[in-house]
Amino acid sequence: MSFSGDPSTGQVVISTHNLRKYFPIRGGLLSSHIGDVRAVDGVSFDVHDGETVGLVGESGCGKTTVGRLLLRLIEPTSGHTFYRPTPETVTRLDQLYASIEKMPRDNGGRVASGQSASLKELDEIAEQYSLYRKSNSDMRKLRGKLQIVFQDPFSSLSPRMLVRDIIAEPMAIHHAGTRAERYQRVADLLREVGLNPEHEWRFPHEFSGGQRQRLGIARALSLRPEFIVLDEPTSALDVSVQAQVLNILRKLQTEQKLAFLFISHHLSVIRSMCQRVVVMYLGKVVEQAPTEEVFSRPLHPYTQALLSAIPIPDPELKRERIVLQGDVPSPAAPPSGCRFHTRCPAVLPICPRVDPPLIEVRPNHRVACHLYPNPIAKETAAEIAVTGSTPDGTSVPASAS
Amino acid sequence: MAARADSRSGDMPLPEATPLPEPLVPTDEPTPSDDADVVLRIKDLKTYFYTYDGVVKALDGVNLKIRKGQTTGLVGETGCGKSVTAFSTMRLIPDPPGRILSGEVIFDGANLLWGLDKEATFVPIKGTNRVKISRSFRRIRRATERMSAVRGRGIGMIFQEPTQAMNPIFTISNQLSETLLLHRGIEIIDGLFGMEPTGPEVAAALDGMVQAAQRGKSGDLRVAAEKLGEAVHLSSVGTQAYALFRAAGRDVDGARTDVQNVLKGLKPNGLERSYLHHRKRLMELAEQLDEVYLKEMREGVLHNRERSRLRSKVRLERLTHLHFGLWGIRGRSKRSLERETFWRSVALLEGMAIANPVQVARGYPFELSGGMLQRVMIAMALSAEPKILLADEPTTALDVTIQAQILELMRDLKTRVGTAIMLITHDLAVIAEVADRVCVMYAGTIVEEGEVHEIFRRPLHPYTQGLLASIPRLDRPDQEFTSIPGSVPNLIYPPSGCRFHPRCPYAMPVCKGERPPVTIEGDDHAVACYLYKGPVRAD
Repeated sequence: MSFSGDPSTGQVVISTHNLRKYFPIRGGLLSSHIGDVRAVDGVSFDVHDGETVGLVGESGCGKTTVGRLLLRLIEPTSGHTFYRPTPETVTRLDQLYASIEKMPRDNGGRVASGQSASLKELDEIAEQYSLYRKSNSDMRKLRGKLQIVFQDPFSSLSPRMLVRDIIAEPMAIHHAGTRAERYQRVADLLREVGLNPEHEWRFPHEFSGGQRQRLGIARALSLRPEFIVLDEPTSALDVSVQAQVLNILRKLQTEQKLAFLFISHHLSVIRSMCQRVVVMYLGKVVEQAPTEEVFSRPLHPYTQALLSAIPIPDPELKRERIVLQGDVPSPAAPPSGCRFHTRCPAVLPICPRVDPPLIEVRPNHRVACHLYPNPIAKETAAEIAVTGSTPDGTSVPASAS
Repeated sequence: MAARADSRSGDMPLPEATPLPEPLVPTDEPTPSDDADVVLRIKDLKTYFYTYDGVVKALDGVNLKIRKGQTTGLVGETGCGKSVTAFSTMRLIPDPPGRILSGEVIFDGANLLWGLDKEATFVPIKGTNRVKISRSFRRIRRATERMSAVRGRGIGMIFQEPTQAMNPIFTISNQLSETLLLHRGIEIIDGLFGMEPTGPEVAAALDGMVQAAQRGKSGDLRVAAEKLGEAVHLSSVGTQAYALFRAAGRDVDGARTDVQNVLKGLKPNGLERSYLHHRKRLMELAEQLDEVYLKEMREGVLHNRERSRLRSKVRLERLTHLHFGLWGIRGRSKRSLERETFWRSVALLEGMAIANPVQVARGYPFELSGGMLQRVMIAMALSAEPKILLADEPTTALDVTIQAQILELMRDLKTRVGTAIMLITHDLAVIAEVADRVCVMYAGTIVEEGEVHEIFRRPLHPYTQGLLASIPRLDRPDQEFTSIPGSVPNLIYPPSGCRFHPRCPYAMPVCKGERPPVTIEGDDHAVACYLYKGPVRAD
């Protein structure tokens, strides 16, 4: 699903399609498979060079799982993540996925495999670009390009290693340069993230939370990556320190043209950091648009509620807020139809029955909600609505039509 | 911790000269008229932690006032002593290693920290900069007992991590019932004695419920259930009847029979009555003991004779009713009381806008989400109807949507119940949403305090300015992030003078010397900074 209409962004680094991850629940007598936790259930988006994509949602909605899937730290149940597909491939992929969505399906919602030329072609592209088809040795080579900064700076750094060894470890694993070169680079990296090169002889416990998070960033940068997943990089930090880390990330991005996936539940940070925002709810994408669009014209009721729930640090500003009732349902037994219907303030009769497809209702603004049934005049999007199959591949029950 | 073994006579390292506790003056001075609405007053509170690394000066002279019906926000970075202030107020600081050195916490005319100077003695070890602490554990235990007169009914507390504050092996209703019996026990038992489950009024109210159920409007049913509770003179019957009608759904006649059965078995039998009398007697004695404790803290005198007289009465009451502990009698004697507290806790949960209160009350803490548990915690703290509520980061562990629910609830409580709230948070946005006054803390001292609009409009202390500037603003996305350089100092070796001076953009030579005095800079706005030359505040 590309945003090819936006000229400001560069080439696609990471393009993920229909990503799913079900964690099995085992129980019963022989600990047999009794259900699934649908942590991620059909997520698609692209990340371009030099772009920050924000991934927002409440805890337990699958944000972190998406981040880990994109780096193949865990294997997906289904779906593909393509690394650096050529521009032609990107357009071809969009066409292929659109046509696959229209295919007739059996009761389980599957297309019979091997029957369609599109599926075969997709398979060929996946063989070439998909991370999940790479062999272990190929994947290891790629790992240097795809890095992650973890949420908790207190548990992500080994307390028994010196700072220089922590930062040089990825380079040592990838045999990058000689020992002397590696340690030279450590000093450069420390300077880059605003720490003193003399700090390389210290242990992590001698640093504060913000400084540790900067060490984590330096480590992620050590192999000159192209894409970094930032998994709630500032939520363990104080506001006064958060700003230091965010400024460093901004600076690095403009200098090195890095692509970021910024996972956060903090919408104010997302707004300042990201060019595009993907809003998730219970494993599904409910809205996806450029940042300005999302904040000035949120369409999905969940996004609206999320925005109105943020406290504004100004006692003079009092506003009406939408307070959602209840908690996030369990992803092991998600509600039928639209997963948000149990808490939605604008629920329609159709919502509990039909899962709304993610459709483009304004240029580059996609939303999955029955309140917006009419996509902008785009051939593919229109056809999805007509055939009644959702982009994630499940067919609509007959009762709906 | 190994420190436990040798803490009675353990020598603790001390980097500087020993800060000996100052002798306390009994607080019988008349309070000025403008302080009439002050419900809690903290004066020069010092709490240190004696660790192997050194003495952590967590609180170094905190002065604070909490006014009636107001929400006071306590804000600052991690490790600046916000939680320690709340824990010291409640005397919940683990001792050892912590020790409240000096200060006064005045609540309802009583100094909660009375007798502090006699609880431990500090003897410097010659030739070193260490100090030997010998604690009188008897006195510390007595001081902790005295706090039972204040905890719960006087000052309630909500803890930061709801999953860790609840007992995992008891159901929610068990834990709510415990609080209810502890703080509202006499009222509950009197209610059980005073009810009237038969008579024409009750029958009429039940008919009213049946009609409301047939109409199928849950609002009507709710009102009818409350009428039934009034008719029986026991509101929990209303809650139970409502739950029964809701559970029965369309089977209205079945629900009616259920409620009739409940009414039939409502009157406590002989065994239950004698158990209730016994419990009531114990509760009355506990209440009298609390009175004595409060008197001790108010007058600053021990009432040993009164206290031991009450204690022996409690012992006698327990001895003469040992049969309530017997197998076979124990469960049966408690039945009516347990029924009552269960439905009262359901009503409490209902008041916290929990959708399925009966199910939640029967569940265990692990079955609930963080937001739900936080609501249970708030229900628990409020069941005792405290005069002051200390909320220690009540929404930090929660999602924004759930945070909005909890904040709404707290705002509602302030207006409805009139509880004074001390809200501890590191999130200035939360402060802006709910607080009336703000106290900004830094490294164990309060650097600025004032009315919330005033602080946000005209922050004076450079630290407050830095904190406000560093919040990413949703309404101003394009601004550059500003931050306060450096980080919170190590409180074992705090900076001299103004503790903020190493990070302060306006630091002057004078800042390194003496601690800046608190000056008054306008109506209800005080700041501790050398940049401002207002009149020095009296305390």
